[in-house]
Amino acid sequence: MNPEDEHFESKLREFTPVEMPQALQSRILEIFDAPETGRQPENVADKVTAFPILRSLAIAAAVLIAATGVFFAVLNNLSTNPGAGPGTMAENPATESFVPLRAENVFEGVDDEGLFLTGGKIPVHGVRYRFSDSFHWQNPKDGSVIKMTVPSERLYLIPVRTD
Amino acid sequence: MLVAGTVKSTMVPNETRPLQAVHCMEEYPHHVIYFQHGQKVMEEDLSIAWKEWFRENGTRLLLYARTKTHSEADAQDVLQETMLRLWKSYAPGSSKQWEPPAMPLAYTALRHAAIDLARKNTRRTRREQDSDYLVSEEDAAVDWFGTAALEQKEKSAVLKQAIEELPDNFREVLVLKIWGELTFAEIADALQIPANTAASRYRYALEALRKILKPNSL
Repeated sequence: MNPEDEHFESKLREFTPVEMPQALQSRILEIFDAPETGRQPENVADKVTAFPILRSLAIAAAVLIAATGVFFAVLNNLSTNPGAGPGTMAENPATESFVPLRAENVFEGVDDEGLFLTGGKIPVHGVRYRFSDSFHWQNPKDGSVIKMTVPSERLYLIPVRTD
Repeated sequence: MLVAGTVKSTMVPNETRPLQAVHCMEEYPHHVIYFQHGQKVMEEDLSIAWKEWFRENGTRLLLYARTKTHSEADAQDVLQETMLRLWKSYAPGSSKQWEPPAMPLAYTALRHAAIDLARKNTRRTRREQDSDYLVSEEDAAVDWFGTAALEQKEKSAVLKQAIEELPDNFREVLVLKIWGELTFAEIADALQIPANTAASRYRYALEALRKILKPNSL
């Protein structure tokens, strides 16, 4: 463990758990006076109740519901988008006078961003790649050129395996 | 006539030879009676040992229960239920477990009770969930860490909030290591995971917690 972690750990240890509420402590201490000893814990297998007939009915109902859902989804798709299918995309001929000539993507460096917690509290390791992107356009009529260079970053979140 | 439930040999202070200890469940459910050469030499009240054990470890068990549940009421219920289960299940005939449980076992039982409660809660009706939400606002005021100084009290609240933001598997390892004072081997035993996994989760938990907490916030 690095010294920074050790220092942080010792700071955490300075905080001690709060004392237990007196009422709760009394309630629990009373448990140990009750004559409940020597009992076997309840057998888990006894709690399981099987419903073989209901289970098969449930499966049949689930299949029926799924089939109905798919049927109406297809029906809805056909009625709202009758022209859907291959070869129906609208053509949009390019009319710009400048045409793309060249594009470059230059790698500039990588930074370790450490551990992140996503919204769902999933731990991920962040690695940030830095690039410089260049785009060149040329007007074929007069030969004029437009050059543009912009920095770009890509943050890769790699899931941390903790199981 | 005593009916012996469980018999074992044990060493007691100031005795050179092992004594035969008998737990007579029928007649004296809370007592272990020690014999030597057929003569009763001492008697031990088990409930006293359990009470001492709970007084010593209750606060850290409650802290763990708080981190595993969503409300103070649930945490207290889980702790009480766990103690009841452990007390009921000790000395079950062939087992020779009379003494209070080892801490990893207590944490495992606590964890299972919390999981059981969480499963029950998911089956609750919407109306009950709404009322839980109201309770949870009060729970935000419950301190996890005890202190007298006002400044330290604020820091405790900050720390509590930061711990709550950690993923569950990081949080439980952190709490068991720092405030439960367990080793990685004991944490592994309690959570039924490899010790290396416990160690790596702890390292990640420290890193994540440091990131959540602003510098000098503790």
